[in-house]
Amino acid sequence: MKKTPNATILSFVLASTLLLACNSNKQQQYLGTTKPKHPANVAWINNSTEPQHIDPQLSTGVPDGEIVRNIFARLTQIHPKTGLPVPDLAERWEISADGTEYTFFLRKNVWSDGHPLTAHDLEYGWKRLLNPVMGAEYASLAYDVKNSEPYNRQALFVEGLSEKLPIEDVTKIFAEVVPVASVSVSEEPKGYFVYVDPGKDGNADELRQKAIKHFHNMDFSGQTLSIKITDYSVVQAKAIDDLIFKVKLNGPLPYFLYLVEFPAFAPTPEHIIEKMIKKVGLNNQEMWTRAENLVCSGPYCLTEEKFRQYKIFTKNSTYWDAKKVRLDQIKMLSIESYTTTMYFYQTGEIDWIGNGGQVPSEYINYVKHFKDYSNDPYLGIYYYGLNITRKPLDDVRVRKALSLSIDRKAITDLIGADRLPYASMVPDGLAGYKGLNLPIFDLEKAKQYLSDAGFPGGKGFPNLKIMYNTTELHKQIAEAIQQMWKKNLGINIELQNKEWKIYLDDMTAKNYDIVRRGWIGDFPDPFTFLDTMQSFSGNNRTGWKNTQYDQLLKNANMESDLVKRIDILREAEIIAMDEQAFVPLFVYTSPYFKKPYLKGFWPNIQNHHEWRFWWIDERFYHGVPTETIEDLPNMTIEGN
Amino acid sequence: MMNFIVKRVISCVFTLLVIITASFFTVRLAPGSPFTSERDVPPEVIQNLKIKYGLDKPLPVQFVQYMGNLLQGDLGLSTKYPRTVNEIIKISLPKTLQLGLVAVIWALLIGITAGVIAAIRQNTVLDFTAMAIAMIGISVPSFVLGPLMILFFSLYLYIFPVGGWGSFQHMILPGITLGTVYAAYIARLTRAGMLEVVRADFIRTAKAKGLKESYIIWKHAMKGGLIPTITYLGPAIASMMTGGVVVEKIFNTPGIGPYFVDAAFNRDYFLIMGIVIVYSTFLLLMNLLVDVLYGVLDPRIRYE
Repeated sequence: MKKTPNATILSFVLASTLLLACNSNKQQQYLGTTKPKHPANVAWINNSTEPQHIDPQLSTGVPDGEIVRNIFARLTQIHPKTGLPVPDLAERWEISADGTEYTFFLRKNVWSDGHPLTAHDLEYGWKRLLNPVMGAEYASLAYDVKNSEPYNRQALFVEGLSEKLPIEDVTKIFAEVVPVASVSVSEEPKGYFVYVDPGKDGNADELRQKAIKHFHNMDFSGQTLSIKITDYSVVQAKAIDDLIFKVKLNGPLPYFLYLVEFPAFAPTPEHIIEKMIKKVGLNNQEMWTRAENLVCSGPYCLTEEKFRQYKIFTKNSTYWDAKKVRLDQIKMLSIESYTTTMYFYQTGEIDWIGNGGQVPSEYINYVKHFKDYSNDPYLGIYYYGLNITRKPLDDVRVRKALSLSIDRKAITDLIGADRLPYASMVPDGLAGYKGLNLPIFDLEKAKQYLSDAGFPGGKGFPNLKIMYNTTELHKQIAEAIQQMWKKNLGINIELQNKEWKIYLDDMTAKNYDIVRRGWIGDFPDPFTFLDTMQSFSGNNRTGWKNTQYDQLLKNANMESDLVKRIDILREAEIIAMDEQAFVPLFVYTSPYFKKPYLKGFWPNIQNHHEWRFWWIDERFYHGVPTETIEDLPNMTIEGN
Repeated sequence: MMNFIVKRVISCVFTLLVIITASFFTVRLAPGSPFTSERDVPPEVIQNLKIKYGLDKPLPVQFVQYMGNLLQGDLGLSTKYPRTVNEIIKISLPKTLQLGLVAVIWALLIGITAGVIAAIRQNTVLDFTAMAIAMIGISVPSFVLGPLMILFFSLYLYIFPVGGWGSFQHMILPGITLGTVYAAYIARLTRAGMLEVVRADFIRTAKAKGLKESYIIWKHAMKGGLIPTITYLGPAIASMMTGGVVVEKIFNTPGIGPYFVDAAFNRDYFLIMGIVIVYSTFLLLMNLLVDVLYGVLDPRIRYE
């Protein structure tokens, strides 16, 4: 979240004000009102900011996802208690023996305007996600679908070359005409994908056209070459008919059913969007998501909005499981300031501080005694990245010294919210994964490593810098680590506080020594964390490369035996943690406030609480009841 | 006077053009782009996004295109929100103006009243009290005053809502928070201006003629006494009417204020430009109004 200027003073004043308000309520069990200010068929919530996009294929951050999840159904949904994927738009599915082909059988659905929702809408949505013109940030989530990456990245699709030709030879052929970044094989349809390399300032489109002009229809060893910019026809995610959708993957992804639950994979209404494009043009097509134009497939639909004020979502009676949805309306605010959110919560203007909202760290010790405070484990790791292209960070002993000399327990005690001190990248227990259980602090070993690296007692160690983006939390942690390294290793570290975009730019350009990082998992599988450390991953940004690590991850996603797969992933993580370009510090938690009368919440590591399960406990209109009611998800489960 | 106004308007237009040009190129100098994100996005996708917003073209071409669109009233597309800049400003600006109006009324009412009372009761308890409160008003920043107002009036007394928008009640606390610091300055300036005027010969003459004090103050002293305040009011009103960024954040007012900072953080070039144009136009207009008001209030001031 972005902060206004004078953040330190502002935070202090706002914190003090709220603490004054809280402390006056010390005798109370709940923070603020416990009687709903609205009728029992409504809930009021905050979404932390005006969403950037509620077009599923363009949605990015948490505020976007919070809305998209609830107004657009996907093939699967996640059971709120078990955390397992269960049917939603698809009533059942079949998985091939090798785990690479999924056939989804859709139930008969309609959009909220009564128009049939078919597998073609699903294909349309996935095509939009991967269409390079759309600029979808999450397109890469679909890269495990066969031939999706070449389409999204506008590779040239080459037919006519012999299948037996080695990739290096194909590269050489094309490199004579245009610079080539890489070449890959297409098994279905047969051919090759050639990625041109425009370099820093070149024009990729010109290079592609040049290659097409040169090679298309060329005779090559008796074969006529066909070259074109890859289109969706080669992508292996297709509607077989109105009710069957088939997907072929590069390998057996055990988390694929979780993946398709992601908002970006929602079907979108072709009949509405194409009409809008004709009316306002491609650049303004997102107008289809305005309340007056929108059609939905999920339990709710946006029916009224005032930009940056509020949004009203009304129950969608055409949703296939609508009879199980209890609340008729959700009113959503866009309060950005954490403290203002808490004011609204206290006075009952919102029932839940929201998915994107968090209780500020400085309040937690004062508010965690309230019964409406919750703190769930969260699928996210806070870590530091070390730029191994710079000395002395290119020495693994230095990296290990830095990691082992951080007292992670002291850090989590300092920042509160019961975050879990942690020294590896994959949280323990995630999808059956056994965490590496690495030491969270070992000063003697750290000192030894530093001495072995040639800096006994920190002597001669250069002044490095920790770069972080401007928030109080990052500053607090960086200062603590700066002091720890000074005290424990005798090294001097400077702090560099940078504005968000500059921080991102410098991190991508590797213009840093040590950088504050964090990664929130996209789906509950270890791969979501381990993927960030791959050599070619744009999310790596440390300069660390290890071909064995990359190969292990590749093998893991080809392994259909789940137990073996977990072992392979673990082996990969051991390599990464051994080389220590990444210094994990703690596992996130999700502290939040929710009114006791708003039911339908269960602990969720992604803090997803679907509106369709919510209901209002009407006893609270007459006072705080003494007995609890069992709260079970009200939903129809079918299929696999 | 008409000549003067015409000349000033031309000068304002020229100034605005310089501001637009300088801002256009300056914002693009900042590191980072609208599409820089924490999650890695393939360069091919980034390129398509640049094409969508016309940011793939050379800078001079972008500038000419922008100015051409501007002349047609088109401020461009926001890169952060799926809305045009025109739309965002159309939705947000009225709310900021309404809030600003409440702040201006509060500032003028309290400030002028306190300043006049302090001047005509110079060196009395009333004078010292008014100026002490003014000093506190100047010293207490809005991000302290705002939460205190919320604590007292919303969380303890339940008189006003904690924030948001939708009714006149929603405007009171943020309006007072926004206007108080200006009220304090206005009080001090009014006092200083009035003190200068009340000692003038023509005021002594009016008193000697037996006119009532209230009549003398209102009819004779105020016009001259308010000159320093008027000088201050131009930029002050422009500042209040274009919204306090902090106040709008604290009270969750859906005005244009937060965009001022957020658009810069997001490198939302077109939204930044739109807001710069709005702010600059307002400031220039208010300064022009102030200059014209001088001539109205003080006949000694003439313009060629």
